[in-house]
This record gives sequence, structure tokens and C-alpha cells, in this order.
Amino acid sequence: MTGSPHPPKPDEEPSGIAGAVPGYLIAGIGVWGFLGWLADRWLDLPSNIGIMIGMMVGAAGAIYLIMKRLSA
Amino acid sequence: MNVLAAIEGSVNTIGYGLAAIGPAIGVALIFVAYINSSARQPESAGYNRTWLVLGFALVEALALFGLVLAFAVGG
Amino acid sequence: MPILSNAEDDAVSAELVAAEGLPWPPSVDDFFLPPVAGPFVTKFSIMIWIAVALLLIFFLTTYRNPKIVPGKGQWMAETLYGFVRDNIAKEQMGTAGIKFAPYLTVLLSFIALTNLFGIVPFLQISPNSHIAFPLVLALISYVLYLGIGMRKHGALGYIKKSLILPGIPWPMHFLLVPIEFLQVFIIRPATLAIRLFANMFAGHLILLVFTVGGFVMLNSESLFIQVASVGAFAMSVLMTFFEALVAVLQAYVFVVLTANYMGDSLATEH
Repeated sequence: MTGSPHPPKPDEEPSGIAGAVPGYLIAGIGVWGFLGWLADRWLDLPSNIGIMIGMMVGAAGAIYLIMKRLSA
Repeated sequence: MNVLAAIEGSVNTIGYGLAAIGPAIGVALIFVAYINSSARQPESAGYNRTWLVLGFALVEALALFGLVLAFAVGG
Repeated sequence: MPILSNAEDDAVSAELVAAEGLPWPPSVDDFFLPPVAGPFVTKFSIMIWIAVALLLIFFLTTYRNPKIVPGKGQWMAETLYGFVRDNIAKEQMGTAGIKFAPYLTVLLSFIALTNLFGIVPFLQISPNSHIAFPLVLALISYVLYLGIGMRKHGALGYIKKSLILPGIPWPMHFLLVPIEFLQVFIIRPATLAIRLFANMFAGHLILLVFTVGGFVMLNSESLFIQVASVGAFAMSVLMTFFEALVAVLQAYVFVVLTANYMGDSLATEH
């Protein structure tokens, strides 16, 4: 692969995926849920809408990241 | 006047019982058609299994609407 | 001694049952679980995340290094995808359907997995027994078949094609157009969602009746009823097997109907 702009991805063994997928999901949902909770507190949004949107955006981002990084 | 006997419960169960008559006959008709066609022409049994499953699920759905409404409306 | 129980006896026995702490009779309240870790994190949300993680892990690991002679995992994934592509997508949609076979495969495995959570120990309820989850899945399929129909025929052309049937005298259209409109735009996604929801709701309710009813029978006072509670537990074992069948069947029906509606959107005039 000549001239590829990024280094070739390391070949993860299958057991690496089983640990990485839940890790990415929990991290994505956790981080963006926490940011949504902060937005709830500072912007005074009604009925926990910040946490809901934060968790959904975090889950979507985590799945996107998993597919980009771990699929062959 | 004093009450001698009383029935508790709701009319929802009677409604569900009546609503289940139609889908029961419908499901029986579907299986009758499948058994008859498989008996006449056994090679078609594999092809017809798709429609058997699909027809059964579609008719069964109506019976289950009745069950869900029996619980959801005022149960 | 009165043989027939009157209202007072029923009230007393209900209090006895409630004193034991058994949720009898099972009702709709049994389906609403308390939040676990936050305002939106209930047992259902955690089950959905587990299902997503399991599906991602399965499909990513089995397609990691595909070989010509497949190993076990790759064979299972390829069988599943081949089944959906040949028997569902190609049959309902023709060759244009192969593009949508990955979406249908994921839909089938996701619905089958979340339905099977209804009989897995510790999880024993399916997220699809709340109307929200099947409703979202049906809405995704709804937007998809409307979208591909409108992309192929144009927005007005698609509405014209689905509402107006060719070859019938024009006064009949006043009768038929409202029916067709209701059918295509409202009834189809509603029945997709409600069919899946009602099957999972009814299945969980039946399992609750037999298992909790078995415990209620065990707690009664007469020995005959206590021995007869074995029948209740045996029925709950049988209904668990039936639930497994219904879980996979409902997933299959959902996907076949989605493929059928999409094929209907893509079809040209008869």
C-alpha cells in the first residue's frame, strides 16, 4: 500500500475485539451522557433532555468509531 | 336488597374471548390449505412453507391485538 | 359451611397472597421497571446496549479474516446473510434487493436477539414488550420504503402510484383512495410495530401467569393444590420453548414484511 496517508491498522486478534466493543460503547455513552448532564445543569433544560440526547449521540458516535476502527 | 352473589372482574376478558374466534378459524384455514396442498403435491411443501409461516403470523397478530387491548384499556 | 366463596373470601386470599410478596395477578405494572443507574438507564436500555455489543462483536470477529474454506463463526455469519439475501431479499425485491440485504440481516438478528432475551435467565423480559422499541424499528422501515419509493418515482409519482389503481372506472376511486391511503401510509408501520409488541407482551404475560401462579399454588393451604402446582411449572417449561419459537418467527415475519413493502415501493405499474 504505497502512499497511504495513515499507517496500516494493527491486526487485532479476535479476543481484542470482544474487549474493545463494550469498552468503546461504555466510554461513548458515559462521556457524552456526562456532557449532556452538565448541559442540563448549566442551561437548565427541562426533564433530563440533555442526558437523553447526550447518551444517544454518544452511542451513535461509539458505533461509528467501532465500525471505522475495527472492521476489516 | 342484599347481594346474594357477585361476579368480579372486567368485561375485557369476555371481549377478548369473542375476538379470538375469528383468528382461530383463520389460522385453521391456513393450515388446512397447507396440508391439502402438500398432500396433493409433496414437492411444493418446501415452497409453500414461506407462505404458511407468513400467513400464520399475520392472522395471529389480530388475535394478539385483542389480548393487548384487553389489558391496555381499563384493565 | 358455604361451598361457594363470596367476596370476603376472595379479599382475604388476595391479602394472603400479597403478604407473601408475590406479584399476583400479573398486570401491566409488571412491565414497568425502575431505573437502574440514571434517569433513562433502565433494564431495557442496558439490554439494548448488550444486544448491540453482541451483534457488533459477532459480525466483526467472524468477518475479520475471511477464508475460502470458512471456519465455524464465518460459516454461521455467511449462512445467516445468505439466507436473508436469497430467501428474503431476492424473492421479495428482485435483484435490486441485494443492496438492502445487509440492513435486513441486521434487522433480523437484532429483533431475534432482543426477542430471545425474554427467555434468558436474569434478563427474562424482552425490550420489545414495550411499544417504544418496535415502534422505532417500524418507523425506520417506514421511512426507508417511503424514501426508496419517492427516489425512484418522484414524490408525487409515488403517491399517485400507490393510491390510484389502473383499470377501474373513475367513480370507484372515491371509495378506494382513502382505503389505500390508510393502508400504505398508516396501517403498515402500525401493524408492523404492534404485531411484534403484542407477541412479546403476550408471551411474557403467559410466562408470568404460569410461574408466579405456580408459586401461588405452592403457598396455598391444601395439599392437593400444592401437588397440582407441578402442572403449572411444567406448563411454564413448555411455554418457554414456545416463546423461543415465537421469538424467531416474529423476527422473520417483520423482516419479510419489510422486504415486501420495499419491493412494493420499487415495483413499476402492473
